[in-house]
Amino acid sequence: MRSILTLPDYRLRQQARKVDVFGDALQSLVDEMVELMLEGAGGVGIAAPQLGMLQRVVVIDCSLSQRPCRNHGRIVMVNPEIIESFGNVLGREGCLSVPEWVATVPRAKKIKVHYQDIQGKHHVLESSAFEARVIQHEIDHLDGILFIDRVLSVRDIVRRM
Amino acid sequence: MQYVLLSISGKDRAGIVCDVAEALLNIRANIEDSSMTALRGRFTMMLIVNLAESCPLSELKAALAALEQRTGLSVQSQLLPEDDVKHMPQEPDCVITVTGADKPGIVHAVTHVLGEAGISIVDVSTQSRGTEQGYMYMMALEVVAKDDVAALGQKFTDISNQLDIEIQVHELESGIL
Ligand SMILES: [Zn+2]
Repeated sequence: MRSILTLPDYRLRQQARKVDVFGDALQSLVDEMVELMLEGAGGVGIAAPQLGMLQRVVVIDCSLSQRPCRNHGRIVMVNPEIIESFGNVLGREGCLSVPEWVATVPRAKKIKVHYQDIQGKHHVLESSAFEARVIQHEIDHLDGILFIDRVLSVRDIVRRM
Repeated sequence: MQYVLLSISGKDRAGIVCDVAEALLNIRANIEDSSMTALRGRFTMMLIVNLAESCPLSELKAALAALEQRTGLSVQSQLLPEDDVKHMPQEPDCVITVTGADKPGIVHAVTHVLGEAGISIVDVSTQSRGTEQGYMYMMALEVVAKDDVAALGQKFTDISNQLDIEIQVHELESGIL
């Protein structure tokens, strides 16, 4: 069983590769990701690079959110890509890979994301509010980006006004 | 463990943080939490430092006096009670932004509403900025509103009209992702 990598592990900063083989290995990676996501209290999403697997796979499940929110339940997204985004909202984010750190991060309010499921079938999903934030956060992991790269202080907010 | 709060400011120039850090390193004091920023032409710093066991308060005072002498910075220090150091601010659940033509009383009006409601401010920043239409005032606050979040916008209606300022309340959803 792998464990969740934490900063400053260099693998969190690497670009993940596109998945083009859909099979048992992918399934067992996803199973492991789900298990680790459920292990951490309040975890609502996880990305393969957090396990040191540099593949473009994320799992989200906002039905696990401590505060109830609109959501599509558990979704496995392979090769996800945000194709449209609207609006801008602030929220507090933390990350299993950056323990003990929570900060204010701006994200698109609403997104349209294209992804493949675990069989390789193509889907387009529209998501908004907290779930959209989670998807953006997890996709960032695939590009080696952590939420701490996007933090806004009140001073930054004033500067942008 | 002895903790000291340092408030330092001086005319802005390159090298201020380094000068202060060096003075603290010389007495093996550790900088824990800090807030350092340029306000107009002044560089301002607030630091909580942890004194080494081997360093008496008098040695810190002497080092700070020498720093003031050498650099022209203004330095104040205050011994902190352990309680203040161990206490962590609550997580903000709301960001409030304020904009309008600059006039006296904006900060007071906004924070009065918060104070009355018992809402705690975690962080705040303001800026008065010259534009073609005169000075604009910008303010952003991170607050712990708890159950008041939904009703917070309503609470600002009166002062928003009186002062002709725009006040937006952004509720922060939060989670470990
Ligand atoms: Zn994360």
